[in-house]
Amino acid sequence: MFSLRARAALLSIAVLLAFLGFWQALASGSPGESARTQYESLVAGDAQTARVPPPSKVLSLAVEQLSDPFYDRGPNDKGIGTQLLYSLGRVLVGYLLALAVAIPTGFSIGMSPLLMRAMNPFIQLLKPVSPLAWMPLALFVIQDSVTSSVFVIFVCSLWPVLINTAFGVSSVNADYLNVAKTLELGPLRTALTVILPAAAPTILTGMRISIGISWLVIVAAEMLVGGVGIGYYVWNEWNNLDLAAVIFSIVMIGLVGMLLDWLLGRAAELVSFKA
Amino acid sequence: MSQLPFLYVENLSKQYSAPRGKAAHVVFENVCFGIEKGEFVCIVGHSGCGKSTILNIIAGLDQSSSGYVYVAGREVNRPGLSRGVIFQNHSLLPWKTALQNVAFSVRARWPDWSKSAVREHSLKYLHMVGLKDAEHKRPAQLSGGMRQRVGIARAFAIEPQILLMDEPFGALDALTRGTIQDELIRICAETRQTVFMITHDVDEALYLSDRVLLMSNGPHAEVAETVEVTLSRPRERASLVRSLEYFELRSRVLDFLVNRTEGTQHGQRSLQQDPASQESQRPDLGSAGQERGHVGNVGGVMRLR
Repeated sequence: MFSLRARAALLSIAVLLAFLGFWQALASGSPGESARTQYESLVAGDAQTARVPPPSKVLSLAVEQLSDPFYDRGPNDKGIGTQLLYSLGRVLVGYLLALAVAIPTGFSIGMSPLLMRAMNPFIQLLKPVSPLAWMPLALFVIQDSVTSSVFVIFVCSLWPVLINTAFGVSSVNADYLNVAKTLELGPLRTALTVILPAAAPTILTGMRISIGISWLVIVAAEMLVGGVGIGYYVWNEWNNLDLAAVIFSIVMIGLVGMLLDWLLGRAAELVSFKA
Repeated sequence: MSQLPFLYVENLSKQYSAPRGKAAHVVFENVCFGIEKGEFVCIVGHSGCGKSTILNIIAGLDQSSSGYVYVAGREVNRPGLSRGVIFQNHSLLPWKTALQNVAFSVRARWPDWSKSAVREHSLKYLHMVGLKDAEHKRPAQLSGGMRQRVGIARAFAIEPQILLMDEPFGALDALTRGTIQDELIRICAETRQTVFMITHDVDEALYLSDRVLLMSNGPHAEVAETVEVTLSRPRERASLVRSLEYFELRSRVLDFLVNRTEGTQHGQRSLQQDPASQESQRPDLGSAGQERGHVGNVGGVMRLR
């Protein structure tokens, strides 16, 4: 019979088609054509906006947007590609800053039981705070909306990487450390050549979680602060009642998120090993 | 003053302080022995008597409660390249290939060697243990026997003054064990390596070593006897089994293990130990923390005083 891969692909396509068909049916069959009073037809205008647009409309919009993704017709009207790149840029800056802080800190915490115990209460207290709750404080202190959103990304990316790094480092197999000891390796060399590679899979798992959270948060953060970015684009299109654009943006956000996760997944594979 | 043996262990003891005011738990005490250069010495004893702890102390991975270890006349109390260790579970770094694992050790030993010199030296030892084509494989892709061989190659490659082996063949099947033992003998003969090895296998101890130390059980374990293995080298497994001398040595060691491992000073057990249960004890895994648990397991009647 067909291989598992082929059957899964067929099932995916079937589910997609079923969903699209259901959506199309929902969007087309509308009660809006029934009789309206004269007053209603005067003020309601073209009452298409009351319905979720059908997939055909979203698709045509997608084709139109993707054919010219980087157009620029003013500060509030830029192509989808530009919007996504701005968002990605902010995510990358915040994310890389978070890595630069979290990995060395996590390393130190993992290596020192004293630090682990001392810092744990702070980590546990700050970790559950929604990154968006930091936004008002950030805006007040930093007084720049773009930098504030980067800061919010920084804060939300910090915790998974920090915790996973500390955990990975503290649970390095004692055997490897003994090997390093019998070879008279200094602490720096041990850290770089033994502990880091041993903890790398765990660290990369943390990084993968963080990138997913960052991408989630940037959309929300941009809705709050505005500017050029996919989050603000979604909100703006909602204000324009252009639901097709909103749905299209959702799909694009999902695709970019998928890509980011895939990239980190490949990186995780590169450092992985079977113990 | 007479020359100290190459490896000299003097009055080593290990004890753990017991909580809540009870007397300290002495694992072993007054352990005293020497190993000459080029000698191959095995130590046998039941699980939990402290053999792994002694080895870890010599290796510098554990601290003794009292006593000293001297290598070539100098005291050692921390890990070093002078004492190579072959661990019971190979302890190869799993993200490195076999060659990289050996090269890692070689580079640590001789940091100013060139890349090609390190590689050549590592390959030489890998070939010595019979791993010609496995150099680019990671440990996960190797069989248990091959992994242990890489561990052996890695330890020999740094040319340590003393090689310490903690039940290196415990995890292998009998056939692989035999093959690797023969290789080990061949390498030791070539390199005239000084070796201290822990094993549970009496036949292995008699086949490989020049001398066998017999350790009594804890608490208060000690090296009760030394057996000189007078079998002439090179030893052949097939003929050895029929040798009367071998049989006598073997009986002597087994008799000690079965009948005479009771502590002589402190612990007269209240229940007779069942020899069958002694033979089937798990081999100790070299962790000081586990020693304690094992002593509690042996015979099931140890009571902390």
